[in-house]
Amino acid sequence: MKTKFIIILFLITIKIFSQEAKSIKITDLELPNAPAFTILDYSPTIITTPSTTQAFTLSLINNINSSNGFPTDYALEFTPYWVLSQKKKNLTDYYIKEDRRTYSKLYKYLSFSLAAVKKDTIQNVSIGIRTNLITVNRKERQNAVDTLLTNLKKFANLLDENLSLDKNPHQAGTPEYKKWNDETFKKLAKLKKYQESTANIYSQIDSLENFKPVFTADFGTAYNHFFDQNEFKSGKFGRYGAWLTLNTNLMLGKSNKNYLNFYQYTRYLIDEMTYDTTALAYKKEKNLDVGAKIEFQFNDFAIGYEYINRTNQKDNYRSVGNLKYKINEQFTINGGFGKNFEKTDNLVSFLGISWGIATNNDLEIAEKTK
Amino acid sequence: METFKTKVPDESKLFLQVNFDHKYLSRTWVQKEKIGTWKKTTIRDSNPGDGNITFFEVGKTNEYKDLNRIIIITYLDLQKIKDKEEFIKKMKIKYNLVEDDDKPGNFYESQIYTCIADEMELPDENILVVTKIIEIK
Repeated sequence: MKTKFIIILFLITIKIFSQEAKSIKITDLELPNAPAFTILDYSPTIITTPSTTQAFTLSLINNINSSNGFPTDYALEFTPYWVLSQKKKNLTDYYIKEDRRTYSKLYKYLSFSLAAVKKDTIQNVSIGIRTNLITVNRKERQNAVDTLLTNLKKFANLLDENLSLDKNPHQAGTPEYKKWNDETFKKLAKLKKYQESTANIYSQIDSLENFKPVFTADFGTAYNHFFDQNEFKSGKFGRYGAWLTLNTNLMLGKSNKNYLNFYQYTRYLIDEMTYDTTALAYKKEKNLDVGAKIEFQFNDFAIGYEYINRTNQKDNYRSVGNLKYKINEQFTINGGFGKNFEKTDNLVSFLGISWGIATNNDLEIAEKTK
Repeated sequence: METFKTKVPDESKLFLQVNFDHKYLSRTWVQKEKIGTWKKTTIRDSNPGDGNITFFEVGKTNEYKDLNRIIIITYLDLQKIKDKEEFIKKMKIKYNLVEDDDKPGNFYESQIYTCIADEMELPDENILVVTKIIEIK
């Protein structure tokens, strides 16, 4: 079952996204925070907010504890807007139109996810949906976009002044015409002002990605089905949950890479995964979980602690410390240690490397008519 | 060079759109060039930083038919592109030229051209220039 599921995931990836591998950024590679994965509570943190929106993300988790050398946990997330939208991906769309919005649009961040996670003899298969309800961007980000726009205008003027392509004294298409244009562009490329201007614009664009919003509210819901002992007929309902995450980020100092992040989390969960040895049946529970998380982020390193109380049960809580360190642009170390909700078998101990395949909306776009 | 055959030149206008994906710096200039001369006039340029141009009115068809050619020059910055050869191979600029009376209903004529290898030049290792010439008949 699991093998088939994985093969399907890869086939979808190859079939739909058979294109040049895009440069993968750290925001694409965080531990899966897709609802289909977090519903299971196995991850170092279940209080998360969506990372940079991708059209499609496939995450593989190689948990060092599992030591069989091959990832056992998989999550796939798909955001229809970025795949189906007719919008082209270019510099203006990608960095300016999106970044300039103070509030986000609900449908843009609506994503669907699938996950396959194995724990002992239990194979979990989950589906989930989430969306961002509201994002309030920081003023500093808006200002940075305005500065970028000004610099883009200056850049355009620099090009126009130094190229003057309409002054080419040769008929278009002739070898002389091509030579004249080539030499003009060559001169431009050597201009110190041109080199500084492009470097400055790219550095500003990179910096924009580091700005975290002032406030976000996200909603997620997921359903889990599980199978025991690799038996298909053993498959049954495991969990259903719906949750709301509120997040606020305080910038530490002037650097847009250092933050103190606060999260508030509320989840309603129907759980039928605990086997009652007295009744010889799975016990059904309806739980309301309320909790919070605090996280310090310093450049490539983040350390956090989350506490979630199961309000309808006495002394049942989740208390987990977690850390994340970016090794390079392609790999991240994730770790978590603490106690999960269950009364027994409740240790969260995770140290793993995550990597992923992520893509933006660079698909072939249908022809437009006027 | 492409040739666009008009259908109703006395009644129509020409509209053009330039469309491509590129997440880095780019810029496009649309010029008209009087046939048999080198005289060029820039009739439209793209927004700063972005080489795409949404549909705009190029002019009356009669002003172009057998008189003026349309030249579209696109500059793309390749500094951030690792595999430039592969990028150039896959680069696809679409030029949609439409003949229309600008009234509701079907276009008289619509052609989508794409850039070809011969139209691409690398004056510098980090600059790609694509020049498309369209003759109006």
